[in-house]
Parts: sequence; structure tokens; C-alpha cells
Amino acid sequence: MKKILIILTAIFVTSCSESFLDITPSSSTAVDNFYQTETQFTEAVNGAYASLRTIYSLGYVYEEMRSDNTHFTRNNNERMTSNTDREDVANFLVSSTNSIISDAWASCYSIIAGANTILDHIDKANLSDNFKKDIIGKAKFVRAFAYFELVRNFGRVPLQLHAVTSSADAFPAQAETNQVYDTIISDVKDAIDKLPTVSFPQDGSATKGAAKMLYAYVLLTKPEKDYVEAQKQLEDITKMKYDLLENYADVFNTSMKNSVEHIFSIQYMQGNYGMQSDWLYSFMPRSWDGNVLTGTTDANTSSTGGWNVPTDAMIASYEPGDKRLPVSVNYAVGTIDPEDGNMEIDGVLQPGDPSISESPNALPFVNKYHHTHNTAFNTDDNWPVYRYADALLLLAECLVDQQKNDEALPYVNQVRARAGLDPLTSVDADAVANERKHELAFENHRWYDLVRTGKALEVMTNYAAYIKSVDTGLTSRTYNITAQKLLFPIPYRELQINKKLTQNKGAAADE
Amino acid sequence: MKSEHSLLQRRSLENIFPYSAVRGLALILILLFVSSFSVYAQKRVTGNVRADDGQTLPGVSIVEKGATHNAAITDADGNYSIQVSGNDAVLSFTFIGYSTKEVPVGKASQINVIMKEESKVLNEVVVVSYGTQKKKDLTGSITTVKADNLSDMPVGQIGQKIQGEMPGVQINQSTGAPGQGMGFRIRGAFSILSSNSPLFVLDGLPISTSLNNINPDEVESFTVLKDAAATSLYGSRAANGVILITTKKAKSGKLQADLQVNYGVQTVKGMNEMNVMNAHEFAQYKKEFYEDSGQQVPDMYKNPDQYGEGTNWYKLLTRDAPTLDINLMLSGGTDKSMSTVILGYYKQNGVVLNSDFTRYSVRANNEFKLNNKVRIGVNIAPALQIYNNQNTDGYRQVLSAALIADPCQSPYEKDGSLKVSLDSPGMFGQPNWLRYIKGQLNNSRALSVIGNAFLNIDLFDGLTYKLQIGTDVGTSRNRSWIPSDVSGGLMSPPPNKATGSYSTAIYYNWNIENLLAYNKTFGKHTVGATVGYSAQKANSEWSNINGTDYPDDDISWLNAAATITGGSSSEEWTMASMLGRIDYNYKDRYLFQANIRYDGCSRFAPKHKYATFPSFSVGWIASEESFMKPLTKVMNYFKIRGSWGMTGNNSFGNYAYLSQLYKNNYALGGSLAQGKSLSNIGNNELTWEKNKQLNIGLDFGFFNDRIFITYDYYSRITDGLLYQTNIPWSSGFGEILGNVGRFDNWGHEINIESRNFVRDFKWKTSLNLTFARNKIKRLSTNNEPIGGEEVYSDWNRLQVGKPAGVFYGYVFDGVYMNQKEFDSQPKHASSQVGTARMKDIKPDGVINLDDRTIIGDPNPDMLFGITNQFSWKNFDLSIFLTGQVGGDVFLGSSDNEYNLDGVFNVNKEVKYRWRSVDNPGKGVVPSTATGTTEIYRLKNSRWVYDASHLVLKNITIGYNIPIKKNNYISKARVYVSGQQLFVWKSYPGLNPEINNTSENELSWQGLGVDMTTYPIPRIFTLGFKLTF
Repeated sequence: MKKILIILTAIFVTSCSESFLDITPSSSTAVDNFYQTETQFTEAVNGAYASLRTIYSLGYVYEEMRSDNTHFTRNNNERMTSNTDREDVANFLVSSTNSIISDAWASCYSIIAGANTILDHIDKANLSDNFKKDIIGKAKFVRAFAYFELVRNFGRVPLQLHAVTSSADAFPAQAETNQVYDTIISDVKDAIDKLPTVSFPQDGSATKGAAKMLYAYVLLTKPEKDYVEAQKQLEDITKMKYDLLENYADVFNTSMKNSVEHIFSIQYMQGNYGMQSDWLYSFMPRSWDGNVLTGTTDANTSSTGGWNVPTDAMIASYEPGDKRLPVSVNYAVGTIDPEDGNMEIDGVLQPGDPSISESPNALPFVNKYHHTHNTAFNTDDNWPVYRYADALLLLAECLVDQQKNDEALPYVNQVRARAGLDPLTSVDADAVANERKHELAFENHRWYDLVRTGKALEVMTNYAAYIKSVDTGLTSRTYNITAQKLLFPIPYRELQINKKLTQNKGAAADE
Repeated sequence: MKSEHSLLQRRSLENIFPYSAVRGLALILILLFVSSFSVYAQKRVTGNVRADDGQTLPGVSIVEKGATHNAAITDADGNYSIQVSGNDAVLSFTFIGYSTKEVPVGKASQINVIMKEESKVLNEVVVVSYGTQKKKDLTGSITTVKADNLSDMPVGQIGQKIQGEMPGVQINQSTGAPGQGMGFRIRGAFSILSSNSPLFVLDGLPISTSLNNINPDEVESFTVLKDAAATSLYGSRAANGVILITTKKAKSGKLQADLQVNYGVQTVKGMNEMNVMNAHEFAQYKKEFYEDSGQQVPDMYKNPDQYGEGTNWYKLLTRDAPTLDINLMLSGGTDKSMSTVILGYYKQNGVVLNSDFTRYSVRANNEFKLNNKVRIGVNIAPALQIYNNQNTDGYRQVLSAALIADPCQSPYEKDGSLKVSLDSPGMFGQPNWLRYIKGQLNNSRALSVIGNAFLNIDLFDGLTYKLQIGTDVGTSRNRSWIPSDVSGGLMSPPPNKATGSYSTAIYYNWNIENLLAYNKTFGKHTVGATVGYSAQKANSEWSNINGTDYPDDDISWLNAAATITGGSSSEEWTMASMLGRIDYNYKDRYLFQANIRYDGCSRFAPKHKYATFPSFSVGWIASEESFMKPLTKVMNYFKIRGSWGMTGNNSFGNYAYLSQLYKNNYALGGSLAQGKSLSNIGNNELTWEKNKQLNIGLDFGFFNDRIFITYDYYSRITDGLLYQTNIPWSSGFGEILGNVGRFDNWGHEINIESRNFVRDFKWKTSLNLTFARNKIKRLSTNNEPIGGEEVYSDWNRLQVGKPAGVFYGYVFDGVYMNQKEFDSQPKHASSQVGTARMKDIKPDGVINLDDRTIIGDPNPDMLFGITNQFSWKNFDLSIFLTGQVGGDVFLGSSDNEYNLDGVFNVNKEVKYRWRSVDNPGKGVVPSTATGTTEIYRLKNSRWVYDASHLVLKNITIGYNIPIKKNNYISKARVYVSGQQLFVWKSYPGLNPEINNTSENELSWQGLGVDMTTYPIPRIFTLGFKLTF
């Protein structure tokens, strides 16, 4: 029958009848024709790294707002779930349907799927070993990075190490936490082997230094910590050509991206490429017209602003003269409309400015991502993931953990010196943690630092009392902090679909 | 029955050369003979004409054949007197509703005639797939509607005209937005992912264009093919049924012009509005809201008595609006060259501000006979449509949002200018909806051209060849402009950045068909066979440009925008098919038909490109049997039909089996680095959804077809349902497309046509009833339910053992009225005294997501339509009712009107909410306490209502003005018509037919869900029709 049809088609329609029914998309790419050339693999890797941005669009919610660094200005007018879900994460009221955690979960696995597909295809590709090595290194780094994000937030998670091509492969059970860490370590070690050492100027790609940084974090976070190996990895980094920038503000300066201080950053670019960042518009106060602050037109943040707000206690915890405070936090001053909570912003002031107390209202905001840009909601800021100051302080932490406090001291003081602070004469774990808190404030480190160092319960319980005294809108159900709540619940949809999964006991507020 | 038999023979034999030649020759000789002698003799004939039941027949027209100047009409007693040319004259008696009778005069001078009432029903020729058939020979389930009856309805869309006319065909009007919103579903056809819409075939061309592109007045008939026997020749596209649209044929004869003009006024006045608070009530509520929470009452609400009705935002956005519909049809020609041209203009101003629809259309249907054997037809129909509509439909879009805007706010500033945005204490900021709707531009223009040409050659001995080529091409563009003062929406009030867009689309679709048909009768055997080949290709391209960062609001075109982004894309698909049909008919009472289509389609992976779709059907006209003859007086016709067949569904996107990549760029070294990521998981095993359908039908004609009843039972199994199976996100994706799932549906359809009175006063009733049932039998590998999980939207659910698209949510169980109730009842984490209680379906004392269940079913129990047509002398009246029994509708916008956070205007019922143990209200509205209100606005049983309704769809009263001798006008008719006059319903929302599905589709997601759409107006029309 098929032959007759083909002959008829040849007679009546077209001479090349075989192809009449073979149509492939002309304006998009099908996988069958992809994963062959160097260009294609490079594009695939770029795609995988571009997907990292999905973690950082709301990462501040579960990495800063969940910690003692920041809270939020409640938007009493707009109680939609996209807002209340953020508050719930900050307030330890996470339900298994919370969209923030579902998105975090799905984003990480989407990144993993991208890496898996690359790794599944690269062996078969007829390309040079050198090229393959680079691609594998980058893919394994990003896969390890995403699994580390998952394991820290969800604990036991499914391990998906090959691209899913049919539904038969799509229903794995959870792996034990140790297994997940073993996989991460295996990937990150391979990435360290295969990735190039940084050379400047660098373009933002993953490097050996980034992989070592990730490895060190993994070693210090996993259930059986390996301080010796972590120390070695971090010391290797100090032997690369990284350095502290002279001026703390320059670390975040959008004209000095990927400098000698940056080990790994998520890359953003303003313009019409769909690659812009926009955290400023979430972090600044709600305002009908925030142009004074943003320097653009149309900066209406009445429904986007008010998140990740540094608490007064956090601001007060900076040592006097810490140059990092005015870089990290600024105040928007103006008048808040009591009825809708929006601020008419008159100006932006640095902490300590006496005019702050004179203006009718003043609201602090995270200033690290506040730079000149052309268009509202279209900023140029990168997200700093690993930087040299972080490496130094992590090394200090690692040394203190091994009771080598004296060895740790110079690293801490190196960082303090740039901040314009007097050197310490001795350090302990608290001193290192305190330095990390201020050096790396609002860079999504605080929560993981607290959990890694075993301080989360203690610090957050104290914080709960504080924040409830400041924010009277917090109900009695909030901040019911238990060890189980240091993990997120597995997303509800995932549990419904995959019956092999089990919930993290006690993690969900609505259990 | 005898006459029908001979008619059938004539049809079958008309191509047999020797016979027709002899007949033609004889006719010529007779005519010559008659005409040559007619001048010589003259005589008068008188007589009486009666019907076969003995009743006298006044008004019967009598003419002498070949000498039409000899004519007469019977008087009140049925008597006549006529002058004839002589003994050889033949008298022709004609009367509407009766078979024409010819009587040779001979030597008689008195001729009494008994006329037999015509059985119109059975001799009707019905358009079927790839051919025509007489209704009495049908073995499949087919319903036809003639468009004539619908021409007086003052609506612009085909769907609006045929809604409720046909059993088994559900047509819902989801929105009243001009030129939009008609969804079709035949026999409850269902597919999860693919389209549920039937295949539309216009003059043999499967069209991709929307039905809206067609002026309903170009249409002669609609044929709905329902069972597999009727549809399987359309193979892989037939699963949802097929609607064949036949346009008005080219006509020969005297040139004639028909002009029809309708002018109407649409209104939504007096139609039900959502029952939200007025300003006084709302201010009181807000005051209490603040008092109850111990907060300071904002100044605006301190004194509710300062307000009266306040602003009715919804009413403010609506108006009375005119419609105008003009159609001019020109037809005529010779028997060699015939033509019909229809010019149409339709304009509908919307009842919502800044909305309208205009259509300019032309259709030219031409047919040329080159000789006795060869006919060529050329039809072409361009149409231009212009739409304006400002995001009226949907959740928290302008109409929905206007219902919940603060009635205490005026749309105007003190100086009389329009406010930019509304900013009330404790409420979501929102645009001034009046300014919003007036200030935007959203204009679409679509030009489409449907053309087809055919070549028909009578080869020899009943064998005919037909070549048909059709094209459906079109282009459309949409331009939008949202200036900064209206840019935004609920929660993002203006001013915001102005935005503009300009998008275009162009498509073409061609189809070529070669058909060989053979028909011949051998004694008692009639044989028919058709074989054919068809190929079709469709291509579409589209582009869009978006602009923003305008310097000001002065220039709306994109060249004023500082930032411009855009893209373009294209898709294609092809099909190549072979088809065949065999008919066999023995003694005009045993009927058999078999169909087969073999389809090849580009949409599948290489090894699944081809599929075969067979069907078989049989019919037995039992009333032809001698043992049934005694019953003939009562039941003159009785037929049993049966069919079985397979069809498919391939409408699910063009490249769905392929795993594809999307652009996902990164920045490296401060510049763009091209990136790509996977957008889906492909599936090379993807294949057609297959339908197996059984149909059993009975046709009854009573009292010489005065009452004609058609009954059909069908049972259909849809297997290999295509859908995106949910897979864990841990795969990197949310779903994978596969052929999983089985869906069964079955039902009964009854159509009754009764001519109650047929004399001077005529009364005809048509009634159709549709009973459709369905059940999901299997879903994916684990039978996981699909949909319904989200707590707000995501209303519908697919679950094994249940009908498609049931509603899923909590069961509302009242309010914890006091501490005792609270202590003794199951609780949600946020519960306290005075909050809403949901039923603890999973009885564990805790109310959480596991306590949701099925709370409603949008599938109707029965659909019906009743038309009564009356005529008396020159007056006629028709009344058309449609309706639905059973089925539920989900008032999905309730989470706005019952939002107790003080952020929206609310339903009047909220007055009776729980405020304290001493003032607990009526137990259906909980308290406004902060942090407790959310559960009350999650999907729950309180928003589910019975969708049963009865619509008085149309009443038309017409008068045919008697035209005495007039050189210009031969016929004239005036009429008044009312459309959508009354809707009887218990549902408190506006439109019980509503669906929140994509345009012109009745898919399961959003079925029966009301998220507020454009109101369907009442229309009063005055119209006339003149024939020149």
C-alpha cells in the first residue's frame, strides 16, 4: 500500500515523492540532528550554564530570607501565592506545594538533564579528545553544582545520571544522602581534572578553581566532613592567580565582571537578549515610581519590591567603620503611603547618614546589585557564586575546624583589611562565621553557612524571637523551627507522580 | 414508493449513453409534435383537485406543459378551469408539499386529480464524504441542515446559526466577543491533548481556516458526519466527526438578485449581572473589616452613608450596540455557463466598549459545461475580517476585574478627566478600567481566500472522473498598542511602560484529489464504487515584533519604540492518502457500504507514518418488504442501519514526536554566547489516536413522512489517547508525549421532524435530543489522574472511571460557628473559630490537600433543540429554543468575589459573614481574620452550580409582501427577529454555556469553567429580503 501511495504522490504531486511526507522543522532544531559538531556541543554547554540562572531568580528567598540576614516588607495589598509562598519560606511555613521549592527542585533537575544529555552524547561524537575533555569537565561541574543545591535543600533526592528518553526511565527512587554526595564528588573530581586553570581575563566559564571551590564546599557540608581534603583544595586555589580587589565595591561593579576576585559567577547581561538580571527590583522598596533609586524610567515596583530586606539587627551587626556596609546596604528615604504601603522615594542614603532619621520613612535595601543600567527591570549584575574572599574565609573555617586557628587568622585578616577593619588577634569558629556573614552578605551563603556549621537551629531560634518582635504581622504558626525543617519537603507533585518517593518527615508545615 | 424507485433509477442510469440518447430523441420528437400542433386546436378542461386524504386543495397551480401561458389555479373548493391547446396537451399540477403530477388531456374535458403528498425527507440528496447520497439510502449517521432556514438569524457566525439544530452536535458559545467563541464537539468527542474540534470540509477542501472566515450566507447546507461509516473516508482526521459545508451552487436561468439586509440592536441591559456590593454596602463592609481586625478605618470608609449605588464598573464598560448585515446574491446563466456571486458585509459593534467585528466577503461560484461529458467549476471566496477587542475575557482581565473594583471610586477625577489608576486603602492597585478599555488598541485584520476548482468528466457507462484542487490561503496581522496611562492590570496599575506589538501570520493549504466513481444498476442490483487519491500540504509562517521604551504616548507605531524585539517561525505538514468506497444496494432495501482510507502523514516518526482506516455499514429498509406493507398507512418508512469503523486523530502539532531544542543563550566575556537546551523529550513511537465506533440507527417515517424520526445509538472507544504524561521533574521535564489512555463514550441521539399542519396554516416542529456519556478507562501506565492538583486554577481532572474533565476540589462544609464546633471538628492548619471548614474526605481529623475530591461534572446529561415554524398565508413565525439538562458549571471567578482580605469588592452575600460568635452570619461566609481566609477561596464545591438551562435562541416573525406585477421586484419579505431573548437558568453567572478553553475548542481543560467572558447580548433585528 505504502508503495502505491508513494507512486501516486510521484504522479500527482511531486517528483521527489519520498520526501513529501518527511518534514522536519525549519525554524527550530531537532535533537536527531544535534550533538555532533563542536559548535553544537558548545551551544549545549552554554545552554546548560544559562539554565543556572533559574536557580538564582529566587534563590535569595531560601538562602537569605530563610536566614537571619534578611526579612521582607509585607505587601498587605497583594496576598497572591507568589508572594505568600516567599514569605512562607522565610517564616518556616513551607508546605509541599510551595512554588518556590517546586521551582528550585525542577530548575536543578532541568540543569541536570541538560548536562546528562551532553554527557550521553559526547562519547559517541567524532571530536578531538581535548574538546571532549573540556565539554565533559563543564558538564560535570554543572551537574555536580545542581545536585549539591538539591542535596542541601532536600536531602535524599533521586539520582538521574542519564538523559531520560522515555517514561520508563523517569521514575527513580530517592538515593541516600551519602550516595548523592558520592556522585557529586565523582563528578566534581572529574571536572577538576578536565577543566582549565583560570587565566585572566576570564570570560565566566567554569574553571578548575570553580570546581575546587565546589569540591571544598561539598567536603565541608557532607555528613562525614573531610577537612584535610577541603583544605588542600582551597590552598590550591590560593596558588592560582586569584586575588582580592582593592576596593570592596568593585567586586560587584558591573564594569569589572569576572575580575581576579571572581572564581565563578552566574553571568547576566542587560539589553534585549533576555539575559538581564532584575534583583534590584525585588530588593528595593515597593514604590509606584522608583526612578530616583534606579536611575531609569518606569521603575514601578509596587508589586515586585520589598523582598530580601536586611534586618535592623543585621545592619547593626556590622562593626563600626566596616566599608562593606555602605556597599551592601543603602536606605531609600521618602514617604510611605499608609494605605497601600508604597513609598514615594525621595532619595537614597548610606547607613549612618543623619538625614535617614529626619526623613518621614526610610527602608533599607540590599545595595550590592544596585548599578547603573539603561532600562527598568533590566540590570547588568552578575551573581557572585564563588569569589576569592569566600575561598579565603572558607579556608579559615576549614582550618578552625581542625583547630588550626592560628593558620586561619591571616586569611581572616586579609579579608578584614580590605573592609577597613583592624586585624583580629585570634579567631575561632564564631569569628570566621561572623566575617563570612558580613563579607558575603546577600550573596546566598548565609543559610548554607548556618546549616554547614551546625548553627542553624540555634541562630534561627534566637532570630525568631527577634523578628517576631519586629514584625508583628507574624502569626504564632511561623518560625516553628525544628531540625526537620532545615530541609524542604519534597514537592507535592513529585510525590503524587512518583510513588517511589517518600516525604522528608516533619519538613512541611502543613503535614 | 414507486416514484422514488424510478427516481433512483434515473440517477443511476443517467450516464448510460444509449438510454439517454433514446430518451432525449423521443423528448425532442414529442416537443416538436406538440408545438407544431398546439397552435391549431383549443379546448377547455375543468376539474377538481384533492389531496390523497380526500381534502380539497385550493391554490394548486396548473399549467400546460410547453404552453405556460395556459395556466390556472384551483379555487377554495379545489376546482379549476383551464384553456389548453388541444388533446395532446399535458397538464402539470404543482403544489408545495405535494408531488407534481402530469396528466395527458386526451379527449377528456373534465380531469379530477388526486395529488400525493411528497415525501421530501427521504428524497433529499445529502452531501456525504466524497459524493452525495439520497437520505433514504444512507447507512451511516448523518445530519443535514439547510441554511435557508437560518438566514433570518441576525448573527455573524456559522456556529451561532446551527447551534442546537442537530442531535449529537454540541456547540457552545463561550464568549460573546464579536466574531469569536463558538466551540464544536460532535458526540462528546474527546482527546486530552489533540483537538476535539471536528474536521471542517468546505466544498471538498479540508480547511484550516476558522469557520468565522466564512459568511454564513454563502452556505447552502451543513452536513454533519457522525459515525465511522460516514467519516472514515477522512481517515486520520475524522475522529471528532466531520462537518461538510456546501456553498451555494452556481445556478443557470434568468438572472436574479437577492438582497437581504438585517439591522439589529444588541443589548445586555436587564441581563443578569454578578451580584457584587454597591458603594454603600462595600464601604460598610470595609469599615467592619478594619474594625474587626482592630485596625484604624481609613477615611474613605469611615462614613458609609456618604455613598449610594456608587460606580457599577461592569455596567460602565458595556453599551447598546448596532449590527448590520447586508448580503447580495446574484445568480443566473445559461446551461453551459452558470454563476452565483454573493457579496456580504457584516458589522457588529460590541456591547463592550472598544470592541467590534467587520467582515467583507465575496464568493463567486461558477460552473462551465464544455460539452455533455465535461464540466469545470471554479469557486473563489475572499474575505476580509477586522476585529477589535481589548482583553475582555478571562480571569482578572478587564470584565472580571471590573466586577471586583471598588464601587466607592469614581472613574473620574474632580476635574472630570479619567483617573489613571484606582488606589483604594487595602486593595490591589488597578487601572481605571474605563480608561483602560478605551485607551488601548488591539486590532486584528485577517484576509483569507478559499478557492477550489474541479474538472468532472463522464467517461463511459457510469464511470466518472473528478479532479479537484482546493486552496485555503490567508494572512493576518494584529497590532496592539498599550499607552503608559493604561499599561498594566490588576496588581500592576498604570502608569507603566507603554508597549506595542505587530504580529503577522501567513498560511497556505492546498489539497488535490483525483476520484474515479462508478455507478450502475443491473436489474435489482445497484453498484457503486469510488476510488481516489488525495494529497494535502499546509504551511504557516508567523512573525511578531514587540516594542517598548516609547518616548511618550503620542505615536503608537513601533518605529517610535526604543527597544524592539521580535522573531519569526514556520511550520508545515503534509498528507498523502488513498481512499475507496463500495456501495451495494439490492432491491432498494438491502444496503451495504464499505469504506477504506489509507493515510500517510508527516506528523509521525518514519515507522508510524502510515495507517489504514476501514469502515462497514449495512442498512435494511424493512418497510419495503411485503410483510410490512399492511403497516404502510401508518408507518410508511422504516429502516435499520448499522455501522462499524475506525478513524483517527492526528491534530496534535506538527513535530510532536521530535525532541527539540530551544534557544538558551549565555553571556561569556560580556558578550552573547549562543546556547541551546532541550525543550522536550521526543517519542518515536508516537502514533495516531484510534477510534473504533459502532453505530446502530433506526429511521421511521409515519403518515407518509408527516412525522419522521431518526434514532441513533453509538459506542466509541478511543484508544492510544495522546497526551503529555506527567513524569517526575527529576527527569528534567514535566511530561512526555505518548499514546496512553483509553476513553469510551456512547450515547443516544433522537431527531423528530413533524409537520403538524400542512395546509393554509402550516406548523412544523423539529426536536432533537442528545444524550452523550463518557468515561475514562485508562490513563498512562499507573492510571494517575491528570489535572486538578493546583488549588486555584487547574479546575478539571481526568480520572479513570470518571467522565472527562470533572471538577476537583474541596467540599465546603460551612463555618466553625463557635468554639465548640471548632474543638469537635476536623481542622486545617489555618483554622480558627469563624473560618471556613472543608469536609475531611480522608478522615484523619486534619484538613489538607488529601481532602479534595470530585465536586462536579461539566458534561451535560442531555442537550436539546426545538424549532417550531408556523406559516399562514404570507405570515410566518419561527421559534427556536435550545438547552441543556444536567451538567455543572464552575464559577471560577468566585475566588475574587469571595476573597475576604478586603482587597476586592465582594458578593453581596458577604454581608452575612461570621464576625463573632454572637454575630456568626448565615454559616456560609467565614470571617475576614488575617491569615485564615485562603482556604475559603480554594477550589471548592460552593462554586459548582447546575448548568441546566433553556435559551429562547431566536424568534422570527416574517411577512412576505405580495408583489403584483412589478418589473423590478419579484419577491419581498420583511421580518423582525430576536436573538438570545431569554435564558432560563439557576446558575448565578452570566453564561451557563461558558468554557475556559482555548478559542473555538471544547477541550477538557476549562470545560464548564466560568472565568468571566464577554457577555452574549440579546439582539433585536429588523430585516428585509428582496428578490429582483
